[in-house]
Amino acid sequence: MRSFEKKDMKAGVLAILICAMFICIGFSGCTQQQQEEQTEIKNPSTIVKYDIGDAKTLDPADAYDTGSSEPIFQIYDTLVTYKGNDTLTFYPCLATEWSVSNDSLTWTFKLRQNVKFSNGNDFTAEDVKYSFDRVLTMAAPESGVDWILAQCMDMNSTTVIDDYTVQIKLTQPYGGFLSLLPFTIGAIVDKDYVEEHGGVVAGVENEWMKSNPMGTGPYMLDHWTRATEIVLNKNPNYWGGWEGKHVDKVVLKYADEAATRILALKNGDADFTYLPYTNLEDVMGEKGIVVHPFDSYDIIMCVINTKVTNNVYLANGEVRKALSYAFDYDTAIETAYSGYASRLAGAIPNGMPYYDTQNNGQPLYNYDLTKAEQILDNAGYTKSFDLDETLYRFNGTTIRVFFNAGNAEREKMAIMFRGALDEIGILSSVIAEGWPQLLHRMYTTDDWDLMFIGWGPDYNDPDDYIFPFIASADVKGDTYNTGYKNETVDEYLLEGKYSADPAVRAAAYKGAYDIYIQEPSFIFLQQRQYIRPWRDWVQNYSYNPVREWYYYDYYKAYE
Amino acid sequence: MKIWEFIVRRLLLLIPVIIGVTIITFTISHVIPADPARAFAGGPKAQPDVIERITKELHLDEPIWIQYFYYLNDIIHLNLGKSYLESRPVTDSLAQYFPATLELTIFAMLIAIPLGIVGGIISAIRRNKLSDHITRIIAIVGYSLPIFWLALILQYILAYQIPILPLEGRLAIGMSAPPSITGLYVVDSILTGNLNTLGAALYHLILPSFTLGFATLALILRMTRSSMLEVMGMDYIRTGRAKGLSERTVIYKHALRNALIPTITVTGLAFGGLLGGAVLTETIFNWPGIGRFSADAVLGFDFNAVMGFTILVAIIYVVANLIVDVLYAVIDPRVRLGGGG
Amino acid sequence: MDNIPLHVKVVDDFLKKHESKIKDLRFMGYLFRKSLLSMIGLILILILILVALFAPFIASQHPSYVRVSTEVGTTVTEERWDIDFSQSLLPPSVEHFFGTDDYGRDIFSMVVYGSQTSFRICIIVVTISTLIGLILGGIAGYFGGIIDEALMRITDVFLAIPYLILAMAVTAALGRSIDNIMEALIIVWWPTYARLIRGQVLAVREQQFVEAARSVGASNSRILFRHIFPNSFAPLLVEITLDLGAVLLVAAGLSFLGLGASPGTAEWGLMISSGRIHMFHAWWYVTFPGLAILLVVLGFNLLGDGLRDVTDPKLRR
Repeated sequence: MRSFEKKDMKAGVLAILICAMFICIGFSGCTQQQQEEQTEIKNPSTIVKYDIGDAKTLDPADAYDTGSSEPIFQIYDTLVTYKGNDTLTFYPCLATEWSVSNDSLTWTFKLRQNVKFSNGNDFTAEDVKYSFDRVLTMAAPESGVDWILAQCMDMNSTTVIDDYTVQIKLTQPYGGFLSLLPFTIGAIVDKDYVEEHGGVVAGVENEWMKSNPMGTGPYMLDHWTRATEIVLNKNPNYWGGWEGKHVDKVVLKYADEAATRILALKNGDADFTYLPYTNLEDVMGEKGIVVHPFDSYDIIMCVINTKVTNNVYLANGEVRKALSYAFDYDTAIETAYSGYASRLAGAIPNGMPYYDTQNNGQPLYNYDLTKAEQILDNAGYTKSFDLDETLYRFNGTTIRVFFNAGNAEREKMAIMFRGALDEIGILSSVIAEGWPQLLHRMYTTDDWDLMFIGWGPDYNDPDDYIFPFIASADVKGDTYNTGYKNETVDEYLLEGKYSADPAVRAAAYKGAYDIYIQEPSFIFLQQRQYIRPWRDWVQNYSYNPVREWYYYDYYKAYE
Repeated sequence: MKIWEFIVRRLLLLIPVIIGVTIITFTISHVIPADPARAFAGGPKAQPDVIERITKELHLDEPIWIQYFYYLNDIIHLNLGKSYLESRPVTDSLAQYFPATLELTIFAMLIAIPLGIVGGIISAIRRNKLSDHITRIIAIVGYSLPIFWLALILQYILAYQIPILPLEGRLAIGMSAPPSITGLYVVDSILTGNLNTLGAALYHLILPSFTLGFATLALILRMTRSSMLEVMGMDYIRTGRAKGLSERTVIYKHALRNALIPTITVTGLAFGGLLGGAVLTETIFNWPGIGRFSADAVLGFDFNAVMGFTILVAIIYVVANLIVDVLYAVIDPRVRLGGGG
Repeated sequence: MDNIPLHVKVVDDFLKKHESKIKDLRFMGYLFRKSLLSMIGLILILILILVALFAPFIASQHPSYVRVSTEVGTTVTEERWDIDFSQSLLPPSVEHFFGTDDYGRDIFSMVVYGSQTSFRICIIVVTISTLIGLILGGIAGYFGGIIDEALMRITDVFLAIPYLILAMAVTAALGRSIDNIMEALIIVWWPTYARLIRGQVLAVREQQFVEAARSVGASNSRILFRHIFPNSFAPLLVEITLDLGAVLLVAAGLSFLGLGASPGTAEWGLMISSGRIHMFHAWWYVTFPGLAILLVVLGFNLLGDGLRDVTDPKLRR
């Protein structure tokens, strides 16, 4: 040690001290709770929300992601809408009254008068016809969202009776027609405005409308700085008026980093934020912050590729049943969703009509590895393949479980599932890939086995769920290209789709369920709750599972 | 050879390099199994006729070498395709995000260069004394520290615990950007006389540019120090000292000037590298630059964005290299005469 | 005459022949030992090597390795750790020195086994890049002319492409795995070595002893191997040592972004990425892998700096 000089020692010690100090300071504050009196409200007439995922477009005729639909809902109005957390009652918005003919085919709407778009143009029935025809003509080239209207409307459907009356004749009876209207696809645009800026071209997107919205809603666009924020200012022409308590400005900020969003909520920069379930404990119990779960219609499932050309084992309904017994549903809810989710009985989520047609709302499958093994053995798939002194089934075939990279909850469930599959002798691999790659597998090469996916409501009707999942490709279902097909089930689902009689629909959905649950093409995992922690000075916030955000109702004050 | 010949020669050589880059980016995007047409058309709900139209538009059904020529042709006409993530032309995205990174990088260098050079000089002059060791340690630790760690800790301490700096972003929440002339908020604010945004822009630049510049600071410090030491030991310095020139003259006039040569090289390359790679800093501080955009594009497999970004960065890199080489040649005549780049 | 045994005589002759070189080396060793920072670097790296070698004995939990076939006809080996959600996110304790992660796995064990992965990545990437660089750079530098020009352009192309993009390409085409990351990094790194070697070769070949060798009639390969390479050795060694640290940082960064190790692997960068969401309620998850990276990179940097200081004659005062 004699060869070291004294100064070297000093320097070395100093270095260690600096590093240690860095680390200590860095994390010392983590466990502190900040006890203060009521903090002053930041930006009292502005609501700021920090979220991930920028909007892609502000054109309601071609928007199909939450990042886009959220600002659209504030800028545009629809004919009818939902209020608060009520998803069963339709409230008048741009339509004040409506009625339907006896054969359920023709709807008549009386429209609200003295409504102006934010540019001063008058709202009339012409705008309604133009908006719906536009959706059908343009055919949503970037998102395909027009299917929602196209399933029961065509270019001859909408007719203008007079300036404030419009009639819609469906192409076939559609039980849930009214519920289609509150979604962004039903937003009313200003005919003159659109015609001035590119009009409607079949199959081609309108570049101007993507970033220059013009609506009758409470807010209008101030600026959209990509990847940073969308700022909305109040629309002075708004027909609902500005008496009472409303905020003048809405700022939708985007920050991908969870740590940044947590700090923003804590210091009051953010009034609302999105946090992964696992970070809720970081803000729970903090003074000034409210963490409150709401029931939603968002569901998560594991899709199975039933095509025999891909995997002969998964083509067998018994195998898929066994897989349904191999998933630890409760642990998944506890660990991936921190308890903020509930079991899902079938394709229709809890809260929607006809949920109880699914085994009375009770999930049929529970975590039972013994049963899973029994089913597999009985089906003839025994543990017979030896790989490094472990016995596997399926001749050692690897079952690949896919999910989109970056989704922490699905990663967790995938790894958990892999462990369970190991225990029952199924060799599996968890693979994270980008969304375009997954699409390619699912639709072009059919090269996938299991995939975790999520689904949210486009409109408040069970048909929005069960048809795309369970109906076959022959009747334009099977959105996930599972290859599942059962003609009886298809008949039931078509009946359920087009009938307006609740009794008929209930019977149809029950019939369908009883069949498909015995050879499931989905493992129904959970229905998650919606939580956006907010500052306690926010008032009058409520969550609507279909409409989600309506800033006009909220305001900031201590009450 | 004369300096102009040198420059022209290097400029001409730029072309095969860019072509080489385009070949590689093109190969990359066609090697990866994915479905751009379907992704553009909306994924699961895409209509078949829309997919077909897009396939024709993107020439996806033609043989691969024909696709490459369409690709080259597009690039020459500055058409980099449409970004699937942002639903707009890639050129629009790059044009918006590039100035943000440029501004960040410039300020990072404004911090790194002076501090690095000064630190390096001090270190070299007081070699093996305490100040030398301290600066070297700070430099080395800074260079070895994962950058997002540094970013997270700085953000937590300076923007949250003792809030003296803003948490994230380029401007205050809800603030509109100044009218866009260059895209650099500081410059645009000055040009349009917008004091509000000028203040906010500078305020928001402090933390991210320091974080980004720290590693470069460390690098420049080490380079300056070692080249100073190298030069200080050389014969002509000793001669100068022997002649009776003051220590200060020796250092500043001779040693420093010659020590700056490799430092310039490093700085130039670092600048080019930073422009393309500020990903982690931009993510933590929510800076809407091309680093963050490229990471999103890469992870989201947005091929057009990825290829467009690559070409942009490649051009920057090559041009930065060229400038550095030219500076080198201007300063050091031996390089020119030696030839061979 | 002499009763000296043959083997002693051989060693004696060897020592006498290379006497000046050995004296040089001993002086360098002395200088090296004198510098605290360089010694710290050396010690850190030795610790890394020991931990990597004796991982199964140091760690309390151990991964298992399973061979799966995700593409028809190919198999990959996956690293699996036992999960136990009841033990998730426990703070550091006697049973779990570094605490546990959100799957209940012991972070200390994962960091220890991660050292094997890190070490493997660094060594393989740098070794293969150096070899490729030696060959291509040596040839280009020595023969000059068009070969040299061509190599310079090709390296330009590769150097111009951001490593992120190359990594994406490789992982997307071949899947997320450590092996593929190594391939991607080799593609990124070899141009640096090719250029460095080329520069060295250019500098050395003009020197007099090479002229002398040529005039005596030595063949090209003999000149390359016997004269040029040995004299280029020192800067190369320094560069390699520094690069080992740089490679680790880049590999960690790629795993951090999701382009490297597959989910569930014990790789330091991936652990930091997974841990960062838990920063506020489980600081240990992100800190210890981060510290590991810091210490290893620091070690390589200090070591490299130390080597540079002792091998560069101009800095020895």
